Amino acid sequence: MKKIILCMMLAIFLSSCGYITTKEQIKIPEVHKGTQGAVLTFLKDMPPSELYEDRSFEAGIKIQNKGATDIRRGMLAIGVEEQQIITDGSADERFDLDGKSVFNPAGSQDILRFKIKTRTLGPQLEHYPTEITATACYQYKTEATALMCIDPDLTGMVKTKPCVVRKQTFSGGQGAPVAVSSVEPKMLFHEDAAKIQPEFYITLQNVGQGDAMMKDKVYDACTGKSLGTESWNIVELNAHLSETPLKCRPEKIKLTRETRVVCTLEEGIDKSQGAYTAPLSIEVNYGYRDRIVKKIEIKKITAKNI
Amino acid sequence: MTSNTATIRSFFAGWGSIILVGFIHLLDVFTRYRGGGINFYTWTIFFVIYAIIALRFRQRYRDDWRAIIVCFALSALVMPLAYMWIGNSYAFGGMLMVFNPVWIIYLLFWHEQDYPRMSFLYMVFWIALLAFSFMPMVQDYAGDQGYMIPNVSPATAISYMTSSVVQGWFAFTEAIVGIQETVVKETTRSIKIASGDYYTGEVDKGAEKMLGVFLEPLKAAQPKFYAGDPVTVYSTLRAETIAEPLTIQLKCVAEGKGKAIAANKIIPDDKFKVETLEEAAIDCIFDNLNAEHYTFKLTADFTFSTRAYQRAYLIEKDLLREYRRENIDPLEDFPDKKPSTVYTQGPIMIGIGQDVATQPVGIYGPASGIEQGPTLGVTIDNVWLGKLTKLKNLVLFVPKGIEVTDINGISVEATICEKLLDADAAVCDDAIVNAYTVPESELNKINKEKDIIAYTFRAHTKISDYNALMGQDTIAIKNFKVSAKYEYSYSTQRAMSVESERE
Repeated sequence: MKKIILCMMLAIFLSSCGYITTKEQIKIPEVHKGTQGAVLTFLKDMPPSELYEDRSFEAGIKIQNKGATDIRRGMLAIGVEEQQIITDGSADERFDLDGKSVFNPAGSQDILRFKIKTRTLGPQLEHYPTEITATACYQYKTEATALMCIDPDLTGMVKTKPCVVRKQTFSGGQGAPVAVSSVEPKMLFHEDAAKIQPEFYITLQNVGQGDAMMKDKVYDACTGKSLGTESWNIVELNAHLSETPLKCRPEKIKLTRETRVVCTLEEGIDKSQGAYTAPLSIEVNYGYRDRIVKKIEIKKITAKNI
Repeated sequence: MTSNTATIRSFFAGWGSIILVGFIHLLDVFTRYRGGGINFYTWTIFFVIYAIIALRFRQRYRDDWRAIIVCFALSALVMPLAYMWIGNSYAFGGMLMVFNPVWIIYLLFWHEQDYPRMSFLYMVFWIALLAFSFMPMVQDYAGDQGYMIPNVSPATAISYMTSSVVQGWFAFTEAIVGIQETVVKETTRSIKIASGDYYTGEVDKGAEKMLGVFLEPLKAAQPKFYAGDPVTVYSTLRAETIAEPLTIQLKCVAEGKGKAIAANKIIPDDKFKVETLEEAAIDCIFDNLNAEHYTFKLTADFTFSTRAYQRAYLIEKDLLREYRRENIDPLEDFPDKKPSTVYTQGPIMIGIGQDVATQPVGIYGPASGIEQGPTLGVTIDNVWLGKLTKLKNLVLFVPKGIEVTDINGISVEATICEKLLDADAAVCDDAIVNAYTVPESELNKINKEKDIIAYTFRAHTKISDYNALMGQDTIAIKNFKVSAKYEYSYSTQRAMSVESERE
C-alpha cells in the first residue's frame, strides 16, 4: 500500500510538471502496468532440441518477475515424460523474486537449473519426440486504485457537480496476470432514507497465460496433487473506499472469462454530503501457475551419429 | 439323337471348319516347322490331313480343284521353301506365321459370305500381328530362342505370343487370388473399422532406417528354362533391425501341378542371422525340373517385433471440466496437441486408441472416489503383403499409477520387467511402468487364423496411485506402449515354364 501511495504521489508530481496531461484518468503507476507475473524462459540449448539416449543434460530456466508483486517461496517444477526422461535430483526448486518497483522497473530474475537424464530408447526405436515443461506456482496479488465519484444526489437536483458517476475501464492490466478490467459505480437508495448506498461492479479477468487458483494451493498445483474443482480459478478480493472496507459478493470468487464482483459500502453515505471523489482500492489475492514447454527429440546412439 | 447329329454337322460345316483347320495348322507349326524334328511320318500325316480337309472343302463349297490345290500347296510345300528363300530375318519369319494358316484364309476370304464377321476380325488380327511381329521385343525373343539366321522359325511370333499369354494367364490368376485375398482382408478390416473395433497409428515418419525384411521381385537367371538343365531364380534380400537380432529362414519352391518341389540349393544359405543390416543376393537352384509350368516362390519366414507408443497428456477430470467450461484449451502451451500412435517400421501396424487417443486424457482425482482409468484399445494389423502367421508375445506398458484390470475380459496381473523378453526387459523399469502381457489363451485364439488381420484387444484400467501418475504438474506427459513379437512370412514369386529338353 505504501508503494502505491508513493507512486501516486510521484504521478501527481509528474502531472503537475505537465508530463501527464489527461485529466480524470486512473493514476496507476507504471509499475502497476502489465499483464504478467512470473515469466519463464528456457535458456538457450538448455536443454538442446535434440538429445541422445542415456545421456545427462541440464535444463536451465530463467524466471523473471515482470509483475508488481513480490514473490516469496514460489515453486518451479520441471516436468518430463518419466518413461523417457528422468530428473537427476530434485524436480522442483523454491524461488523468491521481487516485483517491479520504481527502483527496479524490470523486476528481479533468477536462473534455476535441473539435471535431467534420457533413458535408453526401446528396440526398433530410432528417435522419440517428447516435451519438457517448467511450471512456476506462486502467490500473487493484483492491486488497483481508482478515483471514484460518489454522488449522493440521486434525483439530479444539483446542477453543478465536481465529478460525474461513470464506469471506468482499465486496459493493460495492473502488473499482474489477473486484472481489474472495469469498475462501474452505482449510487443506490439506502434503507436509511438519509443515506445513499454506493455499489461498485468490479470486473476481473485472467489476462495472463496461466491459471489462477486458491492462494494456499500453489504448492499442491506444482507437486501434482489433485486440487479439485473448488480450488481452480478461485480468488479473494478486498476493496476499500478510502479507508472503509466494502462488502463484496460473492465471497468466493470464481474467475471466468469476465467475472463480476459487486462491492457495497453497507453503512452508506449521508445525502447531505455533496458529490466528491474518493479512492477505491482493490486487492485481489490468488495463487498462479505459469508453464512453458519445450519440444525435444531423443535420438538413438548409432554408429552413424556417435 | 438325330437332332444332336444334325447340330454337330451344322457346327462342323460352319465355325467347326475354322476351329479344325486352325488346330491342325497349329499342330503343323509346332511339330513340323519349329526347331527341326521333322521326319517322314510327320510330313505324311500332315499331307493326309490336309488332303482330307481339301476334299471336305471341295464337297462343301463346290470349289474348283485348283483353288484347293493352291491352298494345299501353299500350306504344305511352298511356305517351307519360302522360309528358306526369304528367311534372312527372324522377324519376317515370325510374320510369316500370319500367312501360314492358309486354310483359314481360304475360308475367310474365298467364302467370306459365310463368315463376314470373322473375316473382319481376322483382318484386324492380321494387321495387329503384323505390327506385333516387328516389335523389338519379339525380335529379341526370337533371338533369345535361337531362331537366328539361317534357323528362322515362323512359329516365333506365335510362340512368343503363346508364352506371353500363358505367363499372363498365370499372372492373372495369381492376381485374381491376390485380389480375392485383398478383398477378404479389406472386408474384414472395413467391418472392424465400421464397428469401431479398429484403432490406427502412423508409421514412424522420422525414422531413417527401413526396418523389416524385404525381398525384391523374383527374377529368372535365363529367359527360358529347359527340363534337365539347372533352373536358377534369384532375388535380393534386405533386412534391418535395431537392437534386436533377427533370424530369417528362407524357403524356395517350384509349385507345379499340385506339388511343390523344394530348391536343391539356396545360395548363400537358407538361414540368415541379422544383427543390424544385411543385404544379400539369394539364388534358388532347382536341379531337375520336368517340362511344366511352375510358380517359383521364395519365402522368408522371420520373427520380428514392432513397437508402438501413444503419448498422452493426463489431466484431472475436474480441472479439464473447468477448462472446457471456460472454453480454454488446456494444452495451449503444448506444441503437439494431438499426438497420434506411432509404430516402428515393419510388417504390422499397431494402433492404440479409445480413451488415450483424445487429448488431454481426463483422470479421476482421488477426491472423486472413482478408480476407473482410461480404457485402451489396441489394434494389430498386417500392412505388408505377406502373412502374419503368429502373434508370439504382446506386451502393454502403462505408466505407474495405472493398473490394467483385464484384457478382453480376462483378468491380468502386472508382469515384472525381468520376466519380459530380453529386448523389452532391457528398457523396462518397474518403478515407472506396469507391464502386462496379453494372456496366452487370447493369443491362441487369434493364432488359429492363417493370416491375422486387424486383431483388436481392449484393456480396462484403474487409477491405483494418482500422485505417482500425475507427478509434479497438473498436466502429466505419459505414454502407453505396446510391444509385439510375431512370426511373419513374406514371399516373392514368379510364374515360368520349363520347356522340354533342348535339342
